[in-house]
Amino acid sequence: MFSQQLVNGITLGSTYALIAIGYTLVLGVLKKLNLAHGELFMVGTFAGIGMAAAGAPIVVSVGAAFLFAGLVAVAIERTCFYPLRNASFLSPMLTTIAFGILLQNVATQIFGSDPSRFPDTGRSVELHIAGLTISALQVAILVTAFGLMIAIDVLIRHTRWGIALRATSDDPETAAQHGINPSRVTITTFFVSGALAGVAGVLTTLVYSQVTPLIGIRQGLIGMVAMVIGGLGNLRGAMIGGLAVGLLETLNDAYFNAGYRDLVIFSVFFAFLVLRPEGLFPAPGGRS
Amino acid sequence: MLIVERLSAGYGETEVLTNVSIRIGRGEIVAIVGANGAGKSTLLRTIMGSLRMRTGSARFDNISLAGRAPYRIAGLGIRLVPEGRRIFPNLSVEENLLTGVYLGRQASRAAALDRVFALFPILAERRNHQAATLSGGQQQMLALGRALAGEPRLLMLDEPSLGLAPRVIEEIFSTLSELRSSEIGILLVEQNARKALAVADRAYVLENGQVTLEGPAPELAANRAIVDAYLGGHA
Repeated sequence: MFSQQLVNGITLGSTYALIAIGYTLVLGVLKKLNLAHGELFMVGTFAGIGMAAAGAPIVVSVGAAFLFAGLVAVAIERTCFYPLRNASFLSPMLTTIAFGILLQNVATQIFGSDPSRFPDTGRSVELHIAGLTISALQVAILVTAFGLMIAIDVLIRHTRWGIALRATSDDPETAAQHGINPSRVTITTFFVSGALAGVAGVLTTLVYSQVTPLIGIRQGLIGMVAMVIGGLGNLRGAMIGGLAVGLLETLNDAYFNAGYRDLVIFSVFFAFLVLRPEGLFPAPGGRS
Repeated sequence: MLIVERLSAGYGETEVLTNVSIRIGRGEIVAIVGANGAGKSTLLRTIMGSLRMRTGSARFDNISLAGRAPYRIAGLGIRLVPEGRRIFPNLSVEENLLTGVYLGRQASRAAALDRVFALFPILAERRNHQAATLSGGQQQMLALGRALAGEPRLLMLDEPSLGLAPRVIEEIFSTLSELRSSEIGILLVEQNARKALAVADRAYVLENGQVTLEGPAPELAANRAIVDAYLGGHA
């Protein structure tokens, strides 16, 4: 049923949106991509699974993913970006690829390369609303993901941190000349970017059940697709891009062929890059 | 309050400033005039910490600025109104002003906005507009307002009259004259030498990265030969 697919697609897409937001925030501040961003999704997932395996409730797993993936993101900034801030823009990006592979291998050493899962996520209660079947878990995911999206939107638009971040994105030298500490802005931006990806990891894995330490590769690329579709450097664009990719994936699986999923998604990605690189919602004022 | 001594700075292999020494006292307006490429902007960026000084020293109220990051120099009470204004185009007018008081408390932030709006009422009218939509003159007022919002003790302006209509230039310069009474030091870099010398107390002439002349502004302005030779004889 179509409306059922819409709900499923939005649920999946909301987790993609959380990944895409992180790319966009980092790109805004540094004008560089964190190519280990997908691994933050993976790191968060495994932090959450580790907590759950130790008997902690799901809320604690989500919190652990938020914190741990955020801290790993800060480590990426301190080791891959900050020391190479005056090098060619390619150097830090290539370094993040190396860092990402290290993370994959560390996770493989700890959790093995077989799929891991949350212990006993069980069959959660199913709600029947207007002919739709929505699991309580799905509701929790939607509330968490959209709650985080709204929170980040409000933070960026209405707080001192948000103003500092946007000023730094516009013109880092002038922002610093007015008292804004660029390192503090960059570190907090990485933390938020990693934390959101980490939470996305736990939420996704709760629904789609199992992950390997290589999950970050696809999720990272999907987040990039969402960012490009939404419009580079545009926060709300990244959110809408994430939802669009989630819908595309779900509708493809339901009405076309799940085996063609990534062929379809990455064809759309390719088409956007070639035909409409500015995305659906180009950043206002040409920020990108 | 600002004492720069034998300062050298530059980009890569190129040395732009050589042994530059200037000083500015409290409540004083000091102009730096000179041709395009003489190193005027480089001097301001070096004082601000955006460019590393190679040799020499800069002290502000006896605190060394050498090796200090720009945001910390801003924290000492120095603000730069950069060349080309460099407002934050995607921020609203009000948000641009708030970046100027990023270091301040909530109450002082509101007070700072009120002060700037009193100085430039047009900014109050446009407070929720995106800064990129302002005219050139309004953007210059915004850049000046953003710097003043931080209540600097030393205000540095880089070519504030560049590309502006004469009426707007008058307004900017009359604001600077008004600031004279408020005990803040002003370091003014201008190609429009007549304008700068008219408002300044003292002036330095910068030529190929070196100070070649200094003295009371009226004296330099009155010297026809100096104006013609060094300052391009702006009408």
